[in-house]
Amino acid sequence: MSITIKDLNKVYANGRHALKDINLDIPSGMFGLLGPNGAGKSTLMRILVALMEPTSGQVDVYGYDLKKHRKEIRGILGYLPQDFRFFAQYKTYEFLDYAARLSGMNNTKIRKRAVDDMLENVGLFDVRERYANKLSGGMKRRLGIAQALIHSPKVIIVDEPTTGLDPEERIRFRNLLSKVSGDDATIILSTHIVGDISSTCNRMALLNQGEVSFVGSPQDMLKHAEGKVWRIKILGDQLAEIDSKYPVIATIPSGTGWEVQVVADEIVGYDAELFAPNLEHAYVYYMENKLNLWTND
Amino acid sequence: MKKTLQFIYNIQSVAKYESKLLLRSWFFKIFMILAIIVLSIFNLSVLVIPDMGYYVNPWLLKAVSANIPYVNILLLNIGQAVIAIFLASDFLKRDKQLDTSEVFYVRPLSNAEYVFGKIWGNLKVFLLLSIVIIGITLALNLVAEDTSVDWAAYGIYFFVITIPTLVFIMGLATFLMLTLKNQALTFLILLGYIGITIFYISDKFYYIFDYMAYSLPLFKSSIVGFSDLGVILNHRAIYLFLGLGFIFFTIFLFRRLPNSSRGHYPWIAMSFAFFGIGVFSAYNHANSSISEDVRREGYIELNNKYVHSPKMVIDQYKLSVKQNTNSIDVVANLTGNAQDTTSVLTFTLNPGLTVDSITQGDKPLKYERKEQILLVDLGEEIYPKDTITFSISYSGSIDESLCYLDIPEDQLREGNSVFRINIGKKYSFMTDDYLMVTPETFWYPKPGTAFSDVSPDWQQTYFTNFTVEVDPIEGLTPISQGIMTQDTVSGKYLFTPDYLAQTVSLIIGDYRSKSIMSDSVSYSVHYLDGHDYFSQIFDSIHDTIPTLIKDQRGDLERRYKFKYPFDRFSLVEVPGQFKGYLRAWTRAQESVQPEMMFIPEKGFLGWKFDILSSFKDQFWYAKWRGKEINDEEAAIETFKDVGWTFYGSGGSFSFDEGKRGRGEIRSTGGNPYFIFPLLFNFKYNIYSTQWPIANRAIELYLLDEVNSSGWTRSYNGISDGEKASLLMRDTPIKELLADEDYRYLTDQFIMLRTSSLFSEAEIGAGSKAFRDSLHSILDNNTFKNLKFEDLLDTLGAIGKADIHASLKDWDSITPLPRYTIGAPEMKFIRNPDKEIYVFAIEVSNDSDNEGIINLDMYIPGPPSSDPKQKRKIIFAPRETKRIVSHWETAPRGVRINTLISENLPSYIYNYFNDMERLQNVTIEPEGDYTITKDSIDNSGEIIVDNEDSLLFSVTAPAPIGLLPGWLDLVENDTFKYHGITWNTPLKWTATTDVNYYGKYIRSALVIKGGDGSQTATWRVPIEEEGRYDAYYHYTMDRYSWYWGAASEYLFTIKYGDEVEDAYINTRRAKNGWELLGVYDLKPGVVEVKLSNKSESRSIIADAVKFVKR
Repeated sequence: MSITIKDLNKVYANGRHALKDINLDIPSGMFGLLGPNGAGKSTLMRILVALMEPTSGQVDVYGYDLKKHRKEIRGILGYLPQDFRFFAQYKTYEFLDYAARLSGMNNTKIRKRAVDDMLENVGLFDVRERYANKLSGGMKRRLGIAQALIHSPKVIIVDEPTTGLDPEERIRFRNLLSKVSGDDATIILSTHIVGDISSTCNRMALLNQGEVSFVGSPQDMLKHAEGKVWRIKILGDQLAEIDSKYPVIATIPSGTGWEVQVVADEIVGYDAELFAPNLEHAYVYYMENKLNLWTND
Repeated sequence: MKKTLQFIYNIQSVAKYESKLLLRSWFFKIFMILAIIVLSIFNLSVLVIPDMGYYVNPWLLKAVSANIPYVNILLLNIGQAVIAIFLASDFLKRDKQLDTSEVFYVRPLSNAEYVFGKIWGNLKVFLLLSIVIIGITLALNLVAEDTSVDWAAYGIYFFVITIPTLVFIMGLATFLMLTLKNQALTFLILLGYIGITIFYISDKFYYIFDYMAYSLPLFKSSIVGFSDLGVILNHRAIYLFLGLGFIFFTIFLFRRLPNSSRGHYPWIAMSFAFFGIGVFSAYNHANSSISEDVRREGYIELNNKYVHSPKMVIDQYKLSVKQNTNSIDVVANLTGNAQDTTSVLTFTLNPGLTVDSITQGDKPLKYERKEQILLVDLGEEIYPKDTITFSISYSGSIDESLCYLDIPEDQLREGNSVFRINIGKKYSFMTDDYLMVTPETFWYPKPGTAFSDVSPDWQQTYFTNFTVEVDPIEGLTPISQGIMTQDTVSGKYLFTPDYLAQTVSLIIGDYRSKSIMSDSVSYSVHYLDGHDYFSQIFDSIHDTIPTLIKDQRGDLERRYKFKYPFDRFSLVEVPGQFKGYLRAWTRAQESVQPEMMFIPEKGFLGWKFDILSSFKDQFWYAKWRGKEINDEEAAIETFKDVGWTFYGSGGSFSFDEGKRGRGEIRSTGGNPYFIFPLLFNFKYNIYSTQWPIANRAIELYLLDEVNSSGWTRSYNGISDGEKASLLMRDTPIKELLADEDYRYLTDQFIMLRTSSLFSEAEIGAGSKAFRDSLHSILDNNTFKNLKFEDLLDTLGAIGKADIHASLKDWDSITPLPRYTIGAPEMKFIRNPDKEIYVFAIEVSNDSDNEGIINLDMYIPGPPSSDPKQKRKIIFAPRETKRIVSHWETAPRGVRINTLISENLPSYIYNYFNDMERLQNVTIEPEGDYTITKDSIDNSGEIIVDNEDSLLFSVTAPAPIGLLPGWLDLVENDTFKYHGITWNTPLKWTATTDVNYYGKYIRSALVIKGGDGSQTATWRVPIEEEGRYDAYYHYTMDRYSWYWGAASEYLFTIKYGDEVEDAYINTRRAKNGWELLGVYDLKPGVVEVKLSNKSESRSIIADAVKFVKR
């Protein structure tokens, strides 16, 4: 295992118990951390990148104890925080160069080439002289991933990377990550967007209210939902009724009525048919049925 | 090694990008551009472009070229210190605000690297800016004419001023930012700190809080360098290390998990180590100053103990001095006689000098040394007038803390700076190629003690025969009093004065000199090698100079009424730090010594010594006056200008404005190059064991300067002479002379008392004759010790008055007379046989004390020798005199000085604008007639003045806030009357002026014109029924011409049941009684109320008068 987390707890000064006895083994490759907002994903990420100290527990990163060997861990780490918008007065390439220098890329020539290559890779070479603050949201994200990758880290931690990106940008971003994951690195991708994980991760964990509620592959997750996702055809005035009975995933207008996708063990009294679930369905099913968290309020 | 390299590399990386940010910030850019522009203009105007930099004397920088980098770096440093606060605290705030900073925090660099990098990045930019400014300064310094480049100074000032300041302020700013977690608060505290250090603390507390080196003396002399580089470095170490302490502590406070869990500890340890060094340096710094204060106190105590112990009068000093690097070896051979029967004699010798042996012939004498006190045990009793000779061998250097024990500590500690050049103060020098010792250092053993605060006995000096033999370090030339000869074999120099002197000084350095003879006096300039900047101008008038000197000397001698007594006169160039003080008992400052004056290097403090500029300016002045001059004439004018340095005792005036309309001016300093001591103090020695101020008393009496000029009096509301009179009424003069608070009035005390001491004799002999006699007695005693009491006896015989007996009055308080001075009468009488101007005035002494007034008639034209034009008139208690005098030409006015009296103002002048013309009348004969007092009183008039506490009252304004009330409490109200300035007071303020009405005190209350809320009320008692004319005593506002006086005074007059308004139109009103109206009054009280409702700048509440028809 590249990262092992044991009995990790984080209690904030205000008493909020953000992480509760987290135990996770994260292998190399792309690892998805899924969970709703406020589940503790960012807290966990910030602990992993040594920006925050856990209240208790053990974290081991590539054999280094996070408490004792922060320097070594920081040396093999790339991090893209959730919010990545406000830059100091640096040009795009300077920002990257600065990051590279701080990660110990001392050789000017090598660093310069690495920066240029990385800018090329993330498609920012043309705007390299532009001040980073003047970049578009997507460009900023790409610059963010570029700085996280510039020194070829073994562990890459990205927190909610696709928030606020348009679909095209999002796809580009996922592809960029996938490309890196080929290089034997461990990538932890925290997100509340299921699509991010389904398309890239081979393992994942579901975090909810500070606790790990699922660990496994996306396929395992899907299995839980097989035979539970239904397509119901209803008339217009039945929508409210369905909505109150079942967790609705999607509502598609069809002729005079609606085609509604719901997650449920069985459907009684409606014209329903099963269909193959995707990860999003599995996530909803999981949240609803396993954790009984679903509400339609 | 690799670790260290990575450490440095990481710091550099952070620093590189931090610098970029700083350079990109508008705030810094604007500051940088402003700094470059301002300082470039400053340097251009002062150094390069002539006749531009008149806001600062360019010579100050050019003469001592180290001042060029000093001023530039100091000014830049202040700006940087302020800007650095903003920027240094900013990076922490920025890190917090920018969500992208975290990606740097997760990199493997350590907190220390990050913090160091950030601070170094900021620092680097500031240092770069400093270097740019230094470069510009240096470039302009190189192209500037008449100056040189002090390369070392550029480096030293940069390291001593800039670096510690920046390290400290950045460390402190980041530290405060991290502990307070509030940028605004951090700014506020730090800006407050800067403000306090600049405007309030400045030179206080031994400069210990002066982190910017804003007030710290950092002057680098071109002769001896820094006063004390050790002290300077120690002081700067305080801030460098405190700054480092803060920076290292910041690493601990920095909000990022350290790379390793114990990563903080070494930094905290180092932080405390740096704090430790900083605090130790601070302790060191303060301690050396405090221990100096303690030493001074100890010296004074010792002096007090020995001030009365037996001493000798020395007839002959033979001093043999060997100069070593930083020390001297001296053998002093003393011959003299004891004043008392004793076997132990008391001497004072600088405590830095160690006595090696004392011998009488071959016999060693026992001696005891207690700090500065040297007790020589002769082994047997000697009797007064016994002549004794012995030798004292001693060696060492000078401890300056013995100097100026009489000067108050705060004055000693006060900075000595000109245009931000903090010169510092030194009283003697001993370096490896320079030496300067003056009498104040006690570099040779002097009988008795130095300053004692229990007895004035210590002050007494006597004329002595000095010879000084000097063996200087090779290549150096000594300067001392007397004729210099050099032994061709030993190379030693011998100085033998051809006169007796009270003191001797010694200066040794790489001196060159130029001399010129004029009227058998040799005039020399002794300057250090390479400092001849004046010959190029003056060589062209070489032949004219003797005449110029002769003229100027003649002028000075006439002006100050004494002859220059020496055969030589030298200007000796000395280091700029050399400083003297104005003493209470003499006009001679240490910069003037027998036959020589010490001029600070190249005369850098004076405009007139900027010979080259002055020379160029002469052409401009000439052109301005519509003349054309050639080079020689310009050189002559330049030469004459230098001569003006020696005129005038005055120093500068210090203004104290802003006490809500109450100003105060005091004259300070005194001209250290005033020629007078050479004409008087080193020539005559009037001694008195009782009155060590005897010399000063005679000096002031003969100079006869009118006390206090009009404008300072009107500004202060009371003159120094009047203050002195009022103080002497309650306190004996000896106590006043010992009181530090009244040291500035010393001359007034002495002058007033001496003037009254001599007045009777002066009247007896005639003023001119009396003064002439005094002059000739003094001249007969040139270079001789003259006993004050004997002098008084002689003078008393001349003036037929027992002056000596009157001297005992000086021990007690001075009872003050007070005079009513009637209106002067001036008539022109044309009778068939005679045309004549008749002056008459009635003056009454209303007190039980005898008194004297001066009565001077003002007649235009050259001063006349007519004794009645300038008279002293004695008044017995309660005596009223009518003084009548006849004049051929019309006197224009009369000036009466009531001298020591309660009258305010004590100096009253009247101009005769309206002269009565009469024909064929009896002419009142000349003379002083004692008459009865009633004749002066104006019957039928009822006058109520503002001095009348029963019948006159004013309103007090409501206090505005707490502060004004508190200010009133702390305000110094020793004297009731205040000066009224252009900034009129907001409450009724008492002041005096010759134009106001008053019997003894011509006073009035003044307030700013306002809304009518403030009033002054006169309650006039009417005893007889009748028709009365009511008058108001109006005085024009002194500043009214400036403000436009188109306004009026508004009165309400209440009598019986009637209330009437009355006005005075200030545009038409004249000084004096102005009619308010005519009233039919019954017995009772009339209330006259003056309101402050007026457009006038000020309202003056003085007096009202009711005259029955």
